[in-house]
Amino acid sequence: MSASEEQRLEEFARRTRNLLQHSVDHLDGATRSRLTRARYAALEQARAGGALGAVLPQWRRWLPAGAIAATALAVLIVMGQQSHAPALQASANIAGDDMELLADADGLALTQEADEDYDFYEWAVNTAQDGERGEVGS
Amino acid sequence: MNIQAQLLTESAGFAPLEVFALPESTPLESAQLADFLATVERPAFRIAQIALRHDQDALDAVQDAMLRLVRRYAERPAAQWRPLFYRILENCVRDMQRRRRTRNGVMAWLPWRGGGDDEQDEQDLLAQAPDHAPTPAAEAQTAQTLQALERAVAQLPARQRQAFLLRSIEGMDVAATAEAMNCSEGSVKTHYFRALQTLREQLGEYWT
Repeated sequence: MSASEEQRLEEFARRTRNLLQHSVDHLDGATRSRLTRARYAALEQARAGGALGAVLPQWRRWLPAGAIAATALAVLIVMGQQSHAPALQASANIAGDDMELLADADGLALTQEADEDYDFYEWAVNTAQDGERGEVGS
Repeated sequence: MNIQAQLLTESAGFAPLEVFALPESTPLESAQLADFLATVERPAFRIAQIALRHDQDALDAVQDAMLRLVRRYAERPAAQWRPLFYRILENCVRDMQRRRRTRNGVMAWLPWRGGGDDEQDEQDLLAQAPDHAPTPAAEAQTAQTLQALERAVAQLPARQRQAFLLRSIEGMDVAATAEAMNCSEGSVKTHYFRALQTLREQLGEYWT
């Protein structure tokens, strides 16, 4: 950067600084009043916080330990639920199979056909028993 | 916990544990702190106002920064208050800018919202421009120039804006600015120089 350019930039900086500082020095009364109120409010809130601060830091120091304990408890609960999960899953599968059988029309039809064949099986058994008796009696 | 860690915690919205309570201070120390706040409140307000371009938000930021300083750093040596305060103020300004972006993003979806906020802000700034020039013409010229400068400063990158305002409004030297910005003096010089160059390019018509 040339010396003249540097000088122009320096002059620009000086003028902006003067303008901005002038605006600070001549803030309107309403804004100055609001700033004063804000300052007093901050100091007052801090004093109120200080009164609480005598008590709060005592339990606030326990916050990390409490957070760790709560996290550990949450992990235990989640792990406990996961250990029961296979049994629950198996029960759910069985219940699901039962429902599937009940809802399966083909399975029901096969069962009914098997009922009809019982007459044949009963006759065959009786015939065989009669034959055994005849052989014994003869 | 060092200052940087405390400020990082603070900007994330959490109070550092060991500095939460307002320290026990003598009336003399309280008066010293109140005096310090009285000296920084006006430049702090202007810095926040130019960055946020909103009076009420600027007041809120200044009050929040005061409160945090008093609550957490009042026990520090008085020489540290100024850089600490302006670092806290910058955190407050950036938090407010983030919240505003979020709020505007949500409000943009509402069909009954008009887009006239920026215009309103411009009108408000014009109406609130300082009125202390000797003649109405000079007064109008000063207001116009100041308004253009504020608009241009608000558009600077955050670090350039911070360096420029701390040096121009608060009158900090490079070392103090570096402490307030938590960076090296070389970085301050770079940010300040780039800010000046950008502003001069944008405001040339008002300054020639």
